[in-house]
Amino acid sequence: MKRIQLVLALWMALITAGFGQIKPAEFLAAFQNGTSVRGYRLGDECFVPIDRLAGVGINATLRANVVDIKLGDRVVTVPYRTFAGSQSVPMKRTLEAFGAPPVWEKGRDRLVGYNQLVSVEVDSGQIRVVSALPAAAPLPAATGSAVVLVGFKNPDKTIKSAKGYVVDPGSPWPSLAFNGKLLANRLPANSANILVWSDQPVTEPTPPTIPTREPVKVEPKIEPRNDPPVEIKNPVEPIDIGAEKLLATAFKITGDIEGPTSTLLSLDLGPRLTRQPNLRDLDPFYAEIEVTGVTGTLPEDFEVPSKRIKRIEVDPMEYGCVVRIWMNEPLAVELWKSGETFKLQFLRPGLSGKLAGKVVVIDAGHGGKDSGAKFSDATEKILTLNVATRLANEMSLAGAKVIMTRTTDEFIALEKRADIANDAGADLFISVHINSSAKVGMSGSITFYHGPNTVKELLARSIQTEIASVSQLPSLGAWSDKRIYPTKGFAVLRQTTMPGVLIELGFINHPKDRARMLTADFQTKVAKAIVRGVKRFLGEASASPAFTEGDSESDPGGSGSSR
Amino acid sequence: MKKTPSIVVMLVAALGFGGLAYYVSSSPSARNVAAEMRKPKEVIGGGFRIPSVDGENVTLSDEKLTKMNGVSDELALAQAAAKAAGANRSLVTGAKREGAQVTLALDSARIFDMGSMQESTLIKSWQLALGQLPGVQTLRLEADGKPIESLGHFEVDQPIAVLRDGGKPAQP
Repeated sequence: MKRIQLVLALWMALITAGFGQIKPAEFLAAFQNGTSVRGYRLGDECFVPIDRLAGVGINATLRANVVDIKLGDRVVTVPYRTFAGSQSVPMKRTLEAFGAPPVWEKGRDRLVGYNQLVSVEVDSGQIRVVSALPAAAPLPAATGSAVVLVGFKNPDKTIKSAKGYVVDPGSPWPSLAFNGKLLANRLPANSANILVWSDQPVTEPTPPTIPTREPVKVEPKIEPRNDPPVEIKNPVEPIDIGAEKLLATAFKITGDIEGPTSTLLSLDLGPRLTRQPNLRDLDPFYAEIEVTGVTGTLPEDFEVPSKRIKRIEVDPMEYGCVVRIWMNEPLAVELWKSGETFKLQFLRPGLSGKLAGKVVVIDAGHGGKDSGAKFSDATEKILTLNVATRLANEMSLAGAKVIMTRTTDEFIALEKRADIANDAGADLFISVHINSSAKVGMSGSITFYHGPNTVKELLARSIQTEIASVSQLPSLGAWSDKRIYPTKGFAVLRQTTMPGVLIELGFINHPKDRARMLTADFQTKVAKAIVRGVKRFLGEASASPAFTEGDSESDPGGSGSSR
Repeated sequence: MKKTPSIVVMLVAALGFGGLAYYVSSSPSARNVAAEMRKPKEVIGGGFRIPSVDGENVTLSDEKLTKMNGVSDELALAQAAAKAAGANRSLVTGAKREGAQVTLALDSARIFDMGSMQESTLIKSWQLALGQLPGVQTLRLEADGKPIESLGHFEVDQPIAVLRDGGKPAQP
């Protein structure tokens, strides 16, 4: 009898250990078209061996005691456990880290990973759908006037549980409302459709093959729908100054000093001025001053008080007026208050003349072990070398003596790059980079200078304006490097002794920027644009057509800096 | 008891014992369990706030730091700041405090994979996050036990002043 008890005890221990703790389980990736893999269940966690994750479209990289899980453009790091010799990833913890908590199917050892709708935003005629995980399916879409219907692949009821959504039982379909702007109808066929009410109505259906993270363009020309549109607040509140109350003041502009390298003017905008005028020096040959709350006129017999200035005009605006200044040569401009008047200083760059013969150092950012920013199939060090090589060719064709800091994929320290330019006695230093941001969303180019320095800023603006005209990406303007790193700025710009810029051509983690920057068309056009910008800084090329007299209403590149 | 059943019982017992032994041998060994999983309990970390990045701007959000048991405030804050700046939080592999300075040990394989905007927001996130620690005035970055000269764009070879809430550098 005792022997039987012993046998039973052994078997009970085995059964308890084997089935009470670890069980075979399945992980179903509903967000990846319902593919599944086998794994283990331990408590409330589902562990899947790393080598099986590729079967559900998940990239995993094993490190010392953790594993990096990559889904789309996001990476999370989780610890792994070893089962039967296989390193296994805790899927529940992983998907929770991505913001899409999976659920165990009731009564089954199957963990189901659903996608989660994070947000739907309408901004400037575009719709952006953001989900926690990459959406595998394209967006089927249909539209009615004033409404855009975006299909969102979502094989279960996850939208219903998304934060911020409220079930509207009064609708014929199970509807969801979000901040009074958004309605979402969940359709039965394993999909969800999101109705976005736009302030810009639409007529034609949106093409059905738009990936989730790409914005859906809302065409503006349509017949308005009769349905009452859901109100969307305009983020920009118009400033009502009351143009009828503005009284014209006699402006006075007089010359103070005409030196070999600078010109100083006095600008008297009258006693009613209450706000600091805003200088927008948009082009080496053109600048404008925005004056708010006051408009004015110049005397009929007004003569420009400097040979460097071609023409000055005052244009009345609803909010006040704009003083427009055209220059005969490229000049950096500064504006400051002095007593009751303002001083306007024009500075000649120390460098001018033809580009031919000038020594230009072109710096392809990063290289070797320093890959720079990476995203998907794009790597910064490769992109910068491509653009820098094309830029070197264009500079050479223009007659410049070109020195490249690197022509191959090699690591060069920042200090060494600056030394190359300083030792060569270079006239100009141009560093080419690709940007990245903490969150997906930032887009466009920036040309940095080491500042504050109005001459270096002039070079940056000249180049940025030209890049903006060809890049087909937003222009974020010419920035002082102290704006993003106040203590020292960029190492290569701080350590070089000649005028220099560091150009960030676009954001590698923005899909539109990345796709554009990878094209040969972009790289060639940007290289040519940089050469044109340098020529305009030197005075070899004339003003941009947008800033020639009589056509200065807008800044096409948005590159002007406000001070 | 008859002789034949006794042999059967012994055979069944042997099979049971063998099965149990196999289970024990194939079960996950404690040495294969990551340290974090041995201490999975999350605790609130000192009421510290996590940085928030919006474009080029970094501020301290209202979100409070949570951390694993056994993880220092310095490391938890540095990893949370890295995550806020879009960097992999495992970029920071260690943090040690010596007087008024916190030295962050970074994974040398990951220090060069950012654009300038992200790099600047990462540094500012560290400055703001660690600036919450009373008495801490500077931070240093090192990889493989050596000071880091740069993360690709800016010089970081010297101690960097942490920032107090509001963005003012810490004063000695």
